[in-house]
Amino acid sequence: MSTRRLLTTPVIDIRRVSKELVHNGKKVLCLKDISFSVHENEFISIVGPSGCGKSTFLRILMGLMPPTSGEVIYKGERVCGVNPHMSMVFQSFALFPWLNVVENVELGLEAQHVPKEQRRKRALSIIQEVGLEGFEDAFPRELSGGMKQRVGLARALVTDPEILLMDEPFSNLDPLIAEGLREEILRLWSDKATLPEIVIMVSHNVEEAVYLSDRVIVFSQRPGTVLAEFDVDIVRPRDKRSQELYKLVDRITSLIA
Amino acid sequence: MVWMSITKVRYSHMIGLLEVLEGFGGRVDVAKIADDTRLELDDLLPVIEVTELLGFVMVDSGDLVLKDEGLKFLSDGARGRKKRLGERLLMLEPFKRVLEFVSKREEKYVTKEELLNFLMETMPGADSEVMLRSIIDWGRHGLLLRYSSKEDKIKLT
Amino acid sequence: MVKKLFLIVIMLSLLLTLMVDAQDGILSLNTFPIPFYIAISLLRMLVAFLLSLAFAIPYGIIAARRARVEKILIPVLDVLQSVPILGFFPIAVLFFIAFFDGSWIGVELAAIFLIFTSMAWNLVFAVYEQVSSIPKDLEEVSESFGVKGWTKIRRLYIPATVPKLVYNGIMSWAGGWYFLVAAEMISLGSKTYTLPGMGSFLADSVYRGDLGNAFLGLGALFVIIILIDVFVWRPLEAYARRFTYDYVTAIEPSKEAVFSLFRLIDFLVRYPRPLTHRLSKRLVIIFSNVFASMDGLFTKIHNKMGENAIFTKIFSYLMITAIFSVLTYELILLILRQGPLVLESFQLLFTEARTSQIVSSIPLAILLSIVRLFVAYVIALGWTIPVAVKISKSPRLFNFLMPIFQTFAAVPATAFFPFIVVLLIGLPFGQELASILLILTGMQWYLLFNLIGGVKSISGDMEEAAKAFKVSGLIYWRRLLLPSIYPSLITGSITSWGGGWNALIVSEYIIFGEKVYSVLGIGAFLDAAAYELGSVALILLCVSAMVITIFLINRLVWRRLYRIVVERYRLEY
Repeated sequence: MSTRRLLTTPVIDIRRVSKELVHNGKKVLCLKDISFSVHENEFISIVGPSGCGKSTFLRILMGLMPPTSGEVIYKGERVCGVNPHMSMVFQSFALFPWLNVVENVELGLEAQHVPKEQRRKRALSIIQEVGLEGFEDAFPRELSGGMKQRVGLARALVTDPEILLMDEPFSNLDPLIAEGLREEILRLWSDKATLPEIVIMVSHNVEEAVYLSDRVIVFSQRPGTVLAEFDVDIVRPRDKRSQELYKLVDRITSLIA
Repeated sequence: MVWMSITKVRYSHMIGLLEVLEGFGGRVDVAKIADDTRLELDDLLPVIEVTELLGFVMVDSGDLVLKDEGLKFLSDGARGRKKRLGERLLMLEPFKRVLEFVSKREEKYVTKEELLNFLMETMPGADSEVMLRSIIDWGRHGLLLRYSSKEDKIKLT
Repeated sequence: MVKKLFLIVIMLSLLLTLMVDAQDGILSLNTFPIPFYIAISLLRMLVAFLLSLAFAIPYGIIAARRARVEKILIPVLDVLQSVPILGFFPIAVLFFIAFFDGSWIGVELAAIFLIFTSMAWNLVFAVYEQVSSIPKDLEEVSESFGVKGWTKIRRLYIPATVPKLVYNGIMSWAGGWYFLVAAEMISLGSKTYTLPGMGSFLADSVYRGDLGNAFLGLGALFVIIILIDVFVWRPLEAYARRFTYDYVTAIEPSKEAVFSLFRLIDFLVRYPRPLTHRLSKRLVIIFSNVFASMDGLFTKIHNKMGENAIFTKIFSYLMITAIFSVLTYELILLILRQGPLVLESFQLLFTEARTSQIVSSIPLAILLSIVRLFVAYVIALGWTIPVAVKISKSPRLFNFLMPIFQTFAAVPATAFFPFIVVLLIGLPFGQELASILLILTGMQWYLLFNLIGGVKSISGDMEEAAKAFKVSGLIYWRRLLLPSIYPSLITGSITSWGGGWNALIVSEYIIFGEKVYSVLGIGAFLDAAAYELGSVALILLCVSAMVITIFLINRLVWRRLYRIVVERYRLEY
């Protein structure tokens, strides 16, 4: 895998991204000199201690906020503003409470002024794929955490993004429910060509990061810098309890501690 | 009544349990599952009960075993899973009765209140509100019924 | 569905205009029956309310979204809010009525404008507060999916404001009823413009000392307010629940909180439960459909506009220039015609005996008004705090008393005023007592409802700890209760004083049986300036004095108190 990376041009190139934030009137350096690249068909996880700026970094990647210095290059061009080829899944689900499942999922398409019939069709199709069939007219308050996150996932996927960003997608979920959803995302990612080729996930759970990803990037404490990158060369489908996996998890965890 | 535990369990819990079980190769000590998922036994047991009730697993001398039906369920696509679940749910009393009740209606739908009253009459001793919510939830998962809170209509699919 | 409603409303209004006699705006009030008056007042208030909404939504959204604009818009709103309705009389008369040369259209528009001023500001704050407090992650979602423009307004901004709009809408209507009299009898000195309606009917009966008619009118008002409460506000509140962020019950709003007024009626009238329940559910669905069709209509218009972008641009430019030029033309005409009169009133301010007397007594008047407000405030505190505490502890009491309180809060106390005056006038200091009592009615409800909200949010943990340590009595009050409710006590006090200032104009100056009962106060001065002297300059002077006083008190007292309270007593989680 690592050799393949050397040969292909990266889809995303992050070059010396730094971010300064103002907190209580003081300037705080949140991210420092982050550089790495992301290639086609990669599943990348970013792990690190809490407060190290992982979530902020994800937002910079998406284009929700600009870096203080450095740049994010997408397919050879500098990113300015929100990148329409990226979609995000949020830790808090962030569903609109007054919209039902179908309306929540359609949101991105509605913003693009896709005509009603078309967007309804696409939304219903993705709802079926993500396992939400039967819940089209349910409201978020009627759903469990896992179902809500599925809606968030469907919403992110319906716009056919090339890159899926996930901000601690499983941390607000029951462990048992999270388990089911992880497998679901793996299945969706490796399944069709239309679904996102690249997934970038932020997590504080090293085990899940190693289990799911091709590469794990470790951030340091604030200001967050890239401490190390680990290739997860274990063949898929992976055994969650394999020795290989445990060893890697240990290595990474000791770095963070 | 054994199907009462269905009100404490959500579909996603069941899926999670099956995935974990598969990860263990289809057979594992129940205590180990609790350990692995960091769940209390109290919370885990109802999930096992329901999954067993639906015929996907069985308990054998302290071990949880994934049955054929469960394996097939896991390897199904999204639609397949729902169909299979729906078939299994229909074998349970409450779902049978509720579907019968709705199908007898001329307009083919009932309001939440009507269904609640029906449950209170036919299943006294159960917390009808909780039962109702659970039936609607599982019913949706198994593609047995639809519920629109805006129009207050519970319909058969 | 919406089209049918529109048609009905238009037909009704046409019918009403045919029945109205357009003669100088002064009509004989005894010719028409009370239901007609109610209908026509309702119509006026409805139009004013819709205009207030149309004004509040854009204003609130813009103020919430653009920091630079916010710095101007919100202070302006603060000032507008502290101007009592009488302060707008000059605009009403000199602009609206003069625009149409004294014909009844002008008077109607003036009345609607005045009602607007007692409804709109509240609604703007509702929109502003809600849009400002939209959870950050919903904003991020909108940004990341490119949700903007009309899509953002209809999917994010408007839904986020619905619950508060309903809540503040209820208060706005209460305000509208409260000042209906002032809106339907617009006066500037010698000229009085009266419109047929509930407000003027009551005022007229009271003026003639006709207690019988006044009583009838009051009863009718009471009934209509309850009907509106039951058939409009309750279903709307139930409808609004689906727009809240932390909806607790999974599928239905709890029957208790929302339809307890039905329970009350049930109890009194013995309706079969299923009937009232189905009725209320049907109402929610009706409202839901109406709003959905309106949403659909606006979206269709928006899409059409998008398709014919050039045409829309040209059309809107034309419209704006047309309106602008007409307004400027009329403004110039107005200044030319009315200018000299207004200037004259400024000159007379210090030369004419009566006006100069008033002008010199303004500081004293303000002082006395403040004293009255303070006394009423203390009385209000005295009963609202214990009641708020008691009622929040017992769900049964809550369900029973809340609808009663809400009904009384909605019925304009201004309608009772004459009766209170009659009762108290004989006593020593009767007039002062009467005005304090009347001020009280304009203050207490804000305090009560804010306090109830505050007590209910006392954390359950602290309550349990108090019980465990057997903390009770005075210590309970001092250490747990009062500190927990300080924030809502302050916000309640601010709004109640706001209500109090507004109430001055109807409490310090009352007309009954062709006699004027007034006390020395800034409200009374404002009334005198409008109704007796017709001096625009004096009105402006009194209003400015009031606004400055309110502003100073806000800055020096309330802001400071709020900051102290929030720093010391705010519970951080």
